[in-house]
Amino acid sequence: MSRTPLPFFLVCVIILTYGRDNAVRGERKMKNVFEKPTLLQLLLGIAAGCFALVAFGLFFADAVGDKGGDGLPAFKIAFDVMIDGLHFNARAFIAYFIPLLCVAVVLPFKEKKVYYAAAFLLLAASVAIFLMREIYLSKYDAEIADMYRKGGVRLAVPAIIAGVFCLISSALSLLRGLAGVKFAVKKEQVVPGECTNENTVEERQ
Amino acid sequence: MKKRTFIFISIVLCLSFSLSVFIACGSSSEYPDNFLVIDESKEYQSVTGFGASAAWWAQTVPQGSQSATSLATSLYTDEGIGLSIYRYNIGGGSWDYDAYNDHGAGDFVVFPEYRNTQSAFIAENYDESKSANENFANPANYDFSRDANALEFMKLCAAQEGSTVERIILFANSPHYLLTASGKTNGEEKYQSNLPEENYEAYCEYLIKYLDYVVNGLGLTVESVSAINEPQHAWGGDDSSQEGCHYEPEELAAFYDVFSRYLKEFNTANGTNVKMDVFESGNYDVYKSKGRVMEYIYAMSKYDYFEDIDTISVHSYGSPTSVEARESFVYMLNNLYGDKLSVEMSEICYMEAGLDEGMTSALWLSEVMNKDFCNLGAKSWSWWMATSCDDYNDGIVSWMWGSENGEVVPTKRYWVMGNYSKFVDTGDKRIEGYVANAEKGIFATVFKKADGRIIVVLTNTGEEKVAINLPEGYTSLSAWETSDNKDLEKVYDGICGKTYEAPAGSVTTLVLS
Repeated sequence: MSRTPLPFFLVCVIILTYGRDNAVRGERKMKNVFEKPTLLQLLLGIAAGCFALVAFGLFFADAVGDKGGDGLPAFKIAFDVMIDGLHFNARAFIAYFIPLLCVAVVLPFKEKKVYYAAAFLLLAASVAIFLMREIYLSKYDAEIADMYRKGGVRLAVPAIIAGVFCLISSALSLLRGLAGVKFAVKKEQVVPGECTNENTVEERQ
Repeated sequence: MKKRTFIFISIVLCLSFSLSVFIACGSSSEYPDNFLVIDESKEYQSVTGFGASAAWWAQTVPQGSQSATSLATSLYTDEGIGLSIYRYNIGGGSWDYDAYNDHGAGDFVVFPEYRNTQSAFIAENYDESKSANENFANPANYDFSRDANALEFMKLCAAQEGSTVERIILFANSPHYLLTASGKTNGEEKYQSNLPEENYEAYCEYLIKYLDYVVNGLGLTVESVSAINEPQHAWGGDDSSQEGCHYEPEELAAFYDVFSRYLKEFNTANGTNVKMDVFESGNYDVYKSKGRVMEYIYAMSKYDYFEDIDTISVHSYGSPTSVEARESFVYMLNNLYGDKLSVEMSEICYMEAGLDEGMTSALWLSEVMNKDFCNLGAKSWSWWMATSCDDYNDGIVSWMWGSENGEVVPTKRYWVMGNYSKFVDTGDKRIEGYVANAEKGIFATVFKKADGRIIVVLTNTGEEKVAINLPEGYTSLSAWETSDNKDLEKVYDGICGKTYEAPAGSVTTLVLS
C-alpha cells in the first residue's frame, strides 16, 4: 500500500496551533498523536466521518412521524418547548451528538483505540436513534404515550437513515482501526535440544 | 476484467436511472399539463356551511341602524356572500372592568371596547353570601339588554328576508370573570387553568342562561354551544389582550361531563337538540408540544358523553398551509377512533398587521380553505371575525365599529370566501377533483350539488395566467372571478370549451353542468 503525504489539514492544524515559528516543534508533537495514513486508512476514515456527519445532519430532519406525513425533527425532541418552558431531552441530543463527535475519525490517529471507541459509540448512537420514538414518547405518561403509539407515531425515515449511517460509520471506523494493523503470525517453534541433523549426528559419531 | 466489470456496472446503473425516469414521467403523463380532473364517483364529506364570528364587533352594531342592515345583508343573504353559520360570542364580562383597553396591544387598539365583551350577568348583584352556582343560577341576576346590540344583530341576521343563516353556534372564550381563579377573563399566569372545578356548575348555569334566552327569548334555533375555546393556549400573563381560558385535557374532559348533563336537561325541558361543540382546538398539530389536540380528544374519550360526539371543531392557526399537519391529524384520528369523528374548521384569520386591499391574504384564504376541505376533510369552514375596524386583517369586511351609517367595505377575502359560500350549499358533497400536472400555485376544490352541477373553485396564486384543460362531458360553463380588478364578478356564461384561462392571482368559481 502506497504511503500518502502528510495531509494538508494536519499541517494547517500545526501552523494554526503553534504558529509558523514553532511549526516544526508542533509537528513533532502532533506526530506523537497522528501518523501518516495509508490511502486505505485515509479513505476509510473519510468515509466513516462522512457517514457520521450526515447522520448528525439528520438531527435537523424528522425523527418521528407517521403515514399522514407530518413529523418532528430530532432537534425539537432534544430541545422541546413545552408549556412550562424548555425541556432538554439528553438522550435525543446525545444520540445525534455522538456522530458529530465521531467525525473525528477522519483524523489519522496513531492510537487505534480511538477508532474502536468511535465504532462502539456509533453503534450505541445507532441503537439510540432507532429507539428515538420511545425517547420522544418518554416525555408523556405511559397512557398518553400508548395513545400516540396506537395513533401511528413511528420512527421517521430520516431517523432510520441516520441510524443506518451510524451503523455504517461504526463498521468503517472499526475497519479504519484494523486497517494497517500487522497481525502476528504464529510460527512453529523449533524445540531446542535434540538435533535431527543426520550429518551432525554422524559427525558426532 | 476489471474494466469490463466497470462497464457492466455503469450500463446497469444507466438503465436503472433511465427506467426510473421513464416510470416517473409515465405516472404523471396520464393527463396533460394543468388538467382539471373531476371524478364524480369519489364522494367525500357533505358540506355543513360557511360562517364567521360576531365576537367583539357585533356588540357595537347600533340597533336599527343602516350599518346593521348593511352588515346583515352583506354577510347573511344571497345579496352578499350568503354565509350560513352565525357564531355568537358569550362574553366573559371584561367590559365591566375594561380589561383589554390598551392592555398589551399598544397602538393596535382603536376603541376602548375593542376586545372587551359585554355580559348579561349583573355583577353588582353577586351575593357573596351565596355560592357561585346559586348566583349564576338565579335568573334575576341576568339582564340581556346589556348585550342587546349583539343579540339583536344576531336576530336580524337570522330573521331578515332572504336570510341564509342555518346554524347558530353560541361560543365562549372565557367563563365569566367572577367564576375564574384569577378574577379576570384571562389567567394571572400563562397556562393557568382559570376555571376552578367548584365553578364548573356555575359556568354551566351561565351558558344555559344564554342558551335559554336565545332559544326562548329570541326564538332562534341554536345548533350548539361551544363552552371552551383553544384550551391548549396560554391565555394568561401580562401580555393577555383578549379573553381566554386555559384547560388541561383532564379538566376540559371533566367540565364537558358536567356541561353535557346540563345540556341534556335543557334539551329535555325545551324539546330541543342543542349539541355540545367540542372543543375549538387552537390547532390540529399532532407533534408540536403545545398542540396537544390528541390529548384533549383522548381525555374526552374516557367519558360516556363521548359516545354522542361525532364532530371535533378545530382552528387552522397552528399550521395553516401545511398538508402534512392536517393529514397526520386525520390519520391519527382514524387510527384511534375509526370514522366516528368528523372535523369542522371553526376559526382562522390572517394575522398580519395592516390592511390588505389586494389579493395576497385572499389567495392565502383560498389555500387554507382548499387544504381544510381536501386534506383535513372539514365539513364546514368559518372565518374569525366578520368585520375588522382598523389596521388588521382579522375581518372579511371593514366597518367602523359602533358607527350608525358606517360604510361596509368588503375585502378581497370576503369575495374569495364568497367564491365558496355562494355556490356550495349545505348538503353538497366534496368530490375527487384536482388540477393534474399543475403549475405551482394552481389548485382546485371540487363539489357536487344535489342537482348534479359541479362547483370548481379554481385558484391561481401565480403571477401568470394559466390555461386549465377542462374534462369532457360538460356542456355549459359559467365562471365568477375574484382578482385584483374583479369582485366575484361573472366573467363567462356559455358553452364549456376545452380550456379555461385562470388569470394571475385569482380565485374563480366554475359551475359545470
